[in-house]
Amino acid sequence: MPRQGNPDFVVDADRGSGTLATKAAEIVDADSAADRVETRGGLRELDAMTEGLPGLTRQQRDRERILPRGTVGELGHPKMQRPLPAAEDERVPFSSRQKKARSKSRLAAQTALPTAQYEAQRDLVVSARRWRATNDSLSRYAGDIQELPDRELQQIKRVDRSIQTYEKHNDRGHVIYANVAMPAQINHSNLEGFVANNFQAGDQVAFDRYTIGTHQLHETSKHAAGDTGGRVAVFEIQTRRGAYLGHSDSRDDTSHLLPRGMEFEVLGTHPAVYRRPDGTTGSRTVIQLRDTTLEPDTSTGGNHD
Amino acid sequence: MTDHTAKDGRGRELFTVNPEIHADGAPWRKATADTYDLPPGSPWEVGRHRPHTRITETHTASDFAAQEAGDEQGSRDGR
Repeated sequence: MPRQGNPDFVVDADRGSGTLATKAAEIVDADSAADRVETRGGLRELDAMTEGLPGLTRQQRDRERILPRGTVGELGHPKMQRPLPAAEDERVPFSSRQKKARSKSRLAAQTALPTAQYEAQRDLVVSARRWRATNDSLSRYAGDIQELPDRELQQIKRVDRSIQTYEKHNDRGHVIYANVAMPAQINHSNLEGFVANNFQAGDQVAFDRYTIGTHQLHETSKHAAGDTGGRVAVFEIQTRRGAYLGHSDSRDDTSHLLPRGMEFEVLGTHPAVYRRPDGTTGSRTVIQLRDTTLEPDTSTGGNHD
Repeated sequence: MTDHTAKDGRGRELFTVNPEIHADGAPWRKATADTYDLPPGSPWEVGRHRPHTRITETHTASDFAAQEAGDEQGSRDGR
């Protein structure tokens, strides 16, 4: 039984100022972590009250909500859920068919986007500066966008709606890989133990920020190429949320944008072997997460800007 | 078929996410010293650790602070 981390401190997986390549975990004191959990709970309560207000249209409710509503469509088939692999399973590249199908959904969803939403989404994931500024703002207030200036809030809402549009078009489940750099004291010699002690099965993890990941462990591992210290672990996330921003089978690009304001349950940690397209293999320390973000009311739909 | 120039039904390109791959010295190596309330100039601030310092997975901020204090005392004692 691994020792729990110091009770005075908590490793917040999404508190540091990360990049498009990796999240940055930070050690925060327990009181601050508890305050942030309470804030998030308060935001969800406010959203529940918004959902309960009589006389509002779906559009009006979405506009008033603080956290984005999940809008996932029906699964095309139970097998399309994509379960998390077992610890001993080798993580292999995406099939050509999977890339083609998801790229087709992306194309359909993007065609439906108004220009303002398209540009907001593109700017967020293409500009490193925009990515950092937006996510740092979200993290500063534990996801409470009502604390943000109107212009920033508007852009965030547009990104939220662009993701929701993809979710409505999508009938598949996802397993997403996202890098997470542990604090600076951690290196290859103690990464696995540190992760095991601070991400135990049943622990709750919250992402106030947006998350960029991929559908392939070898691809996400390329994005951590500068990790010479060996302190970057990887989240392996089972979810139905988010938007595929990768390409078809002509490129090794299966990027995926997860919405802000997500919550997860840790299922466990272990070293995982992955295979690259050239047949070589590698290994990463994996933290498996299950999406536990509260399912909102999805009685009606509607896209707007 | 290539999708390098693929466009959606409105003629807009399928843009590519910029994963911002970093060489050594990536942003995640920067300081977290503020979190630990350690003095400026601490080795932890620049993400380094001294070779003789044994770091275990159960070290926490207070462990590091204590170790830091012990190291300084040891230096003064000529150890």
